[in-house]
Amino acid sequence: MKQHFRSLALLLLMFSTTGSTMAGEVLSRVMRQSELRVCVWPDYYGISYRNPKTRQFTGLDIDLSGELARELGVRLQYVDSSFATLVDDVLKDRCDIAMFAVGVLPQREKFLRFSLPYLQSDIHAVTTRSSWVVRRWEDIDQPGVQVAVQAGTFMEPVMRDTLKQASMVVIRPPATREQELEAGRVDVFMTDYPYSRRLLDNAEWARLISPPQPFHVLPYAYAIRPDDDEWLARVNRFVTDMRQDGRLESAARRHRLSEIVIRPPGHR
Amino acid sequence: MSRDAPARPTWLSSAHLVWAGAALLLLLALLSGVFAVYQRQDTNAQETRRTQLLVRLLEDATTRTLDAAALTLGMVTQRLQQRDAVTADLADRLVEAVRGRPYMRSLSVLDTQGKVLVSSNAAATGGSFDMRRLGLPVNGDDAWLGPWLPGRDLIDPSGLDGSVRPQGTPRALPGIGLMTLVRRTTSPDGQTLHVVAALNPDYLANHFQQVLGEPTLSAALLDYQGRLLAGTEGVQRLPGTSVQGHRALQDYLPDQEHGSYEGQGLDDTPVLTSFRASRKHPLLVVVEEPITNVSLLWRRKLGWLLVIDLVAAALIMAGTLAAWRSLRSHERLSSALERTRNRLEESERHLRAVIEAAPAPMFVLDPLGRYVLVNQAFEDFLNVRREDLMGERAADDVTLGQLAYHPQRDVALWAGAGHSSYMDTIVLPSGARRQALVAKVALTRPDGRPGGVIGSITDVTSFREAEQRAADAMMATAAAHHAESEFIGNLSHALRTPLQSVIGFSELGVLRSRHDSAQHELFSHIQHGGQRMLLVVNDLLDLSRVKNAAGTLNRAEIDTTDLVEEVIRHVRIDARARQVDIHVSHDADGMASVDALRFQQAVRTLIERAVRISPMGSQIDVRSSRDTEGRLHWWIRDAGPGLHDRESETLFSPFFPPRQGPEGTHDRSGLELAICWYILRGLDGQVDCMNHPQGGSVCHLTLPSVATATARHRVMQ
Repeated sequence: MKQHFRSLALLLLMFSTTGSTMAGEVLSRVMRQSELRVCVWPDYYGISYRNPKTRQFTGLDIDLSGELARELGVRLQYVDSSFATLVDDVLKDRCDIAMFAVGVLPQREKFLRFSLPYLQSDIHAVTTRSSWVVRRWEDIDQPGVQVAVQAGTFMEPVMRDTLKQASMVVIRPPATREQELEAGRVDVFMTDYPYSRRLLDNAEWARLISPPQPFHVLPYAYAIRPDDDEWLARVNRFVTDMRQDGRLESAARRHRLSEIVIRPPGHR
Repeated sequence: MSRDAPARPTWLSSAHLVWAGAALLLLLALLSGVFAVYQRQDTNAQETRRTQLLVRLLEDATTRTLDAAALTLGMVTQRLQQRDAVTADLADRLVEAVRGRPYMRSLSVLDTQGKVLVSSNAAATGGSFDMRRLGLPVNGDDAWLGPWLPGRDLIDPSGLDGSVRPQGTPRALPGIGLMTLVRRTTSPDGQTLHVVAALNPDYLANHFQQVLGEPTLSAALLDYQGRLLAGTEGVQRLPGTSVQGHRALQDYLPDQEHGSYEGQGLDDTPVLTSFRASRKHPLLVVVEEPITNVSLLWRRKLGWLLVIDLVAAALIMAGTLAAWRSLRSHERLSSALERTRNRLEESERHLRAVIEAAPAPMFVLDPLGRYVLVNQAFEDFLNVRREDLMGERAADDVTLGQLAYHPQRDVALWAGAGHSSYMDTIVLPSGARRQALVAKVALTRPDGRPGGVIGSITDVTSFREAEQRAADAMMATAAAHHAESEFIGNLSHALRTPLQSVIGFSELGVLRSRHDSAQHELFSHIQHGGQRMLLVVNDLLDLSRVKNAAGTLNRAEIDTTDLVEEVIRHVRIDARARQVDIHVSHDADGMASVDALRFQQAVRTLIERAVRISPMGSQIDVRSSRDTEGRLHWWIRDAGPGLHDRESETLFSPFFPPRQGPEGTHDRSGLELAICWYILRGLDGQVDCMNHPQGGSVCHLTLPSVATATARHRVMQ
């Protein structure tokens, strides 16, 4: 019920903002104010991660947003966001574009426009290396196995529909999937490829289990307002260019995300 | 190599060198073996220290984790000791406490009957738990560690035994279990409560994994009963199972709470184990490293040793081989030098023997002119003793000094080039003077420097004397011949004048006695006798001229064929009268260096002889030829009766006149053939006659080739 109210409010917000925004206004504003405001999720390791020790942003989309700002010839301003506040942040003009590998989900497409996709990730499982319960992908959907998913992510409906025997545990903040896994309250949690990199890079005990064949591949793209075709065209041109000229490939290689890059036709 | 070169030690031989190289290799292998053993021990010690350090870290982390959990329990018990503690608010507190402690699955408060009064796990609240499963407290105030329990939480039906597990509830998943830390307290209203923390052993396993950081090491947590509570990825044993007879528990604990050993590990494989007991709780932390891994590390270290060994062995073998080849070459060279030296010594002995045996006096001088070798003949010739000469320059002795160095002849010789040979007069110690041929040859060293002189003395005094006597005899003979010729010439001249008178008067008497037959016959006899005598005297004079005129003939290169044919034309008149035919044939040109008149005289003598002795109607063959040496031959064959025995030897002697022809000859002196012989000798030719196998005789003239005659004539001149 609560979710329905939230969706309705967002729809109303969308219609109200649509009426007050003219086509091409975002790009004009960016150029007029000489500033590009980019929504990022600062906890998205490998994509838009703000190192708590240095407070410096690193990640694929940090590099690419810098490229976009350079192309436009404007300053770059990051705005903290998250998947939970994504729609609100974009529609309320807190930022001009959301650049943090946003999964192109139907429920998001109801409110936002997405650029051409540039990444795609399947759902991966993370467990402990000492676990005797889950060692292969086939061990996940077994009786007694506790499978965690982050609330609000696209994995939640997907896993709810998929799991037949295992129990799904929805993790809501302030609880985290890693803590639940460490405490042994769950046996495995589902995540996407970029997020799993963070754990594997920092936790020796974690083990990544990939599906033996494509399980649920989700394209990632940039999200903008739904009513600005000119801005969308400009963003799509940027995506096309960076896929073609190797900037995407180079940035992905730098952040070890080459496996999930969507390459232009004719490239491997 | 000279004899003065430093002698090589006897032990320094190629055979010994091979053994030395083998000994070095053996030593290298021995040192490598010792080093390998040392490396193995060092690797073991190093890995032991490493696993000990790791197990200390893991034990500390384990103890601190349990201490933190115990502190949480203490905080909860303090709260429970307040009035109205067990409220809904407490549940939220428990949830918050659990959230910040990832090692803790749940935090629950139970009464003495095991009823869960409140829990961080909302699903567990109100549930019932068998308190006997929590174990017994150590004392009343401290938290105690309960045994490992299957299941995910206190209230987990899947963790119960099959006898009490509700129908349809599956068994706990393998490896899923928990540790409990329990603290007992009393509420203000006197109720005994148990605060139970359900701890996740896997958290410790994950932490162990994080600390170890490498898959080759494994770590495990055991309780004192040998039950495996948690293990890293490498431990192939389910948590909750018992490890029977673990060596640390059996042999070390409780007396020794930490240590290391090599033996069977948790997976019954050979491992290096370091263990450490928790300083507060009955837990044992074990770190294992497979012996195969230790061996691998050891082998990696040995890899360098092996490379060094191989390089060192290669160097030793290369050095040994190089030294062996050098020594072998040196030995072969020494052997060759020894053989050469022996041959030289043998040659020297032979040379000394040859010199000693030589009949001629011989001597050898060194480059400084000192006598180094003389033979017995030398001693005898010069009447010296070799002991007095050896190594001496003999400068004081004029004769010896003269032999060693001739100022005019030996300059080039002592410069090391060629030889010298000269006649010298040697004054013997007795004062006798001997003519000697001194011959010397320079000995040259391989580098071209003078190496000495070898010489010989040939005493030619007797030869010289004989030569002088022969020359004197020849001169006497020549003088006698000259006197003879002069006598004959003078005699002939002396006879011819009166003979001319006799002949003249006899002719006058013949003319005037034409009417007196007796006188006429007498004067005719006198005339004929005078003419014969004149003929003889003329021939004698001619013979004398020819004998003495050998070097004064007027030679010229001329075709003798023309000369012969001219003679034949004249002789052919007489031949026709005798019905003798003369046939001429030429197999060669007739060029020769001759005195034309004398040659025709000789040829005429021979052809007229042939005509005289040839029977009527016969033929005389005159033929010329030339041999391979260019000499010209004239052959005159007659059909006469041939020569008698030994007539060919005396035919041309002036003292044996030839036989007369059948008609007798009154116009011949009998000296013609002798004159012929001397003419041919004067022309450097020859003449002889012999019988022909088919009858008759053949006279043969030989003349030298033009070139030979010209050269000889020049020499004579």
